[in-house]
Amino acid sequence: MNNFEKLEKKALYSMYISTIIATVIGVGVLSGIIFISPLHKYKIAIILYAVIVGLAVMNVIISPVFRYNRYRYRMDEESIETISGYIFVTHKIVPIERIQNLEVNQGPFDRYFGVANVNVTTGGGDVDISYISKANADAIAETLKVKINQLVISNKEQEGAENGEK
Amino acid sequence: MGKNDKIHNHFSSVIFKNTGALVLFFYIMVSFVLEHIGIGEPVESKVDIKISLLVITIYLIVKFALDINAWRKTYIYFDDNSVVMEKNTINSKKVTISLNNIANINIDRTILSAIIGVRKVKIDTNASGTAAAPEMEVYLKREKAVQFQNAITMAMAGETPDLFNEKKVTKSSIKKCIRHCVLSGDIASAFFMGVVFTGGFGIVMNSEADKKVLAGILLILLGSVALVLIGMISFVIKSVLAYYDFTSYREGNNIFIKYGLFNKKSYKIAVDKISALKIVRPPLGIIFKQEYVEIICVGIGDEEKEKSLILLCDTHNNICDNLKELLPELYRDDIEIRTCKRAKKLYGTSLAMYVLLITTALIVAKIFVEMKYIIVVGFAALIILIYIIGSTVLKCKESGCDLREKLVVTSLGGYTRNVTIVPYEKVEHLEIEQGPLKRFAKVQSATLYIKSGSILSGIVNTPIISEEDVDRLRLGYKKTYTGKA
Repeated sequence: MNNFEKLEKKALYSMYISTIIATVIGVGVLSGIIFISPLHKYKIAIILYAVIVGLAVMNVIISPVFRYNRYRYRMDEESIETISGYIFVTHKIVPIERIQNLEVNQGPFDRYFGVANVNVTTGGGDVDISYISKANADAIAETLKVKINQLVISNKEQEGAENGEK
Repeated sequence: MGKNDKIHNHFSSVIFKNTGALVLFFYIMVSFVLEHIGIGEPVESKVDIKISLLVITIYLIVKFALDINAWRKTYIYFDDNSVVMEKNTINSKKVTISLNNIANINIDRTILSAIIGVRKVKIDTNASGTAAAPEMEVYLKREKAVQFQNAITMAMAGETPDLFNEKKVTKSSIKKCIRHCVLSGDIASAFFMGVVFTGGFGIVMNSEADKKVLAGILLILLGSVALVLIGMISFVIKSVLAYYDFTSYREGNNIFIKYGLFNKKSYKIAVDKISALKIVRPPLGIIFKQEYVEIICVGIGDEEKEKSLILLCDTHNNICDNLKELLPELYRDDIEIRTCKRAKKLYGTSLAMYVLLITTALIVAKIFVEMKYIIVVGFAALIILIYIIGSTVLKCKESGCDLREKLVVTSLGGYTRNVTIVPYEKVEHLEIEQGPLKRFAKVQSATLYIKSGSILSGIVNTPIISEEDVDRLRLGYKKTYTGKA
């Protein structure tokens, strides 16, 4: 994990808020299904419901801490790498020369906590660098923009030179 | 340019050879029909019309049989500085025309040949004189006839003709097309329908419920089976129409793919735009030893239910031979899939978990389900268990990777086996994943994201591989965009 950066503390609060919102929505939908339908008359259904809600609450408490501690990101001259996950850990590697599109996103809660997400698109799909500070996100976006422009110019010059040789 | 690069006459040559007899046959046939329905004048002839019809029919059958045999065994090829037509029937014949002696090469077109889309290439020699018949007549499809003519002209000028050695056309016959459509069909749904039907039938037979209700359930089951069968048959027919006359060939740095009966499709794909090559062995391919090949690239395979095929179902050896001609940049004939021992243990663990789950389900079923239905439930569980065991065995045997300097070869085993060959330079980004079980077993799996016509085909998953192999994969990929390992 050389040169990998950790997230700032405010990212943890943002993670908590997003996990709480997702859990409230999920539990709300499940409660609706259980208590509007005749399912709540069955004891087994209520037991299962209680287990799921219990696990969801545990997830709200535990998962942001794990995700926050696990999350790492790195950007060097050639690539961007992120390590993320809770139970399943994912390591993503994106060469800068493959980036086609760049986006900085910030939701209302992200804005409140001063964090943002950098979304980069390659020919194969999207990769997110999430919960980084807004200033860091802007700096990454700016650096990437400059690097991509340099790559495009050097590629064009190379193509021009090749065509000239022909 | 050698004996191995042989071509056949077009099949219509058999018809052209018998045009006279066919015209006579149709004349007698029409006269016979008109006479019988009372429209035409009775033919006043000493020879009975029925006997004439019989004689001409027998003649045509025998003649066609002999000509088809001759057509099958007749080849045209270049040999040193000559064009050779070799016929290996009972009376073998070998016509050799030296390129130096060729006076002219003409392409002939008649109304009938124009309708069929065939041309006759006539080769005249200096020796034959003006009045003599052409030394060699070759019947070929329009485009191929022009290419053949060009090839001979090029050979006469001392250049290397590109008809046979650079452009190998892989054309699929209707038989091959049907075979592909049947083998690549979805047999999993038929299998599960069979299981559901057997289970349902067993329950109905053992049940003591109202006979009318049972008859209704049986009818629904039969209806469902019929629907699945109709679905499968319609899939095969649709696929045959879609992939009819499937042709793929390479010309320079482009691959050409053409297919379709009513809705004809034609693609020209630059080789450097191809992101990956996928060799698929469908479930029925295990029994019939067949596999087919798809390519992954932008612009093909993006329509609904369309596969980006370049070769239809064929034997492994034929597929290898054709791929060497079509995509030597990607295909390697020395692929060695190495399966990770730790991954095998993990597959075994997941199998044990499935067995445990099914056993628990059976124990629960024994409590809640009546004894007479237990046999049916047990039978269903046994089939599912056999299915999972089969899948796990195939996964252990066939899943693995072969990491080359510039290529990644992944093989995902199972009832359908996918061998995908991806050059590192085509990987847009890489994702490495590890769950708790994989962490314990010190294995990982990776996903290669490549450019493709559809999101799904652009995701190439590796099987479970060792952490060391994942490191090699990561470093190999890094080398492509940094230039250093």
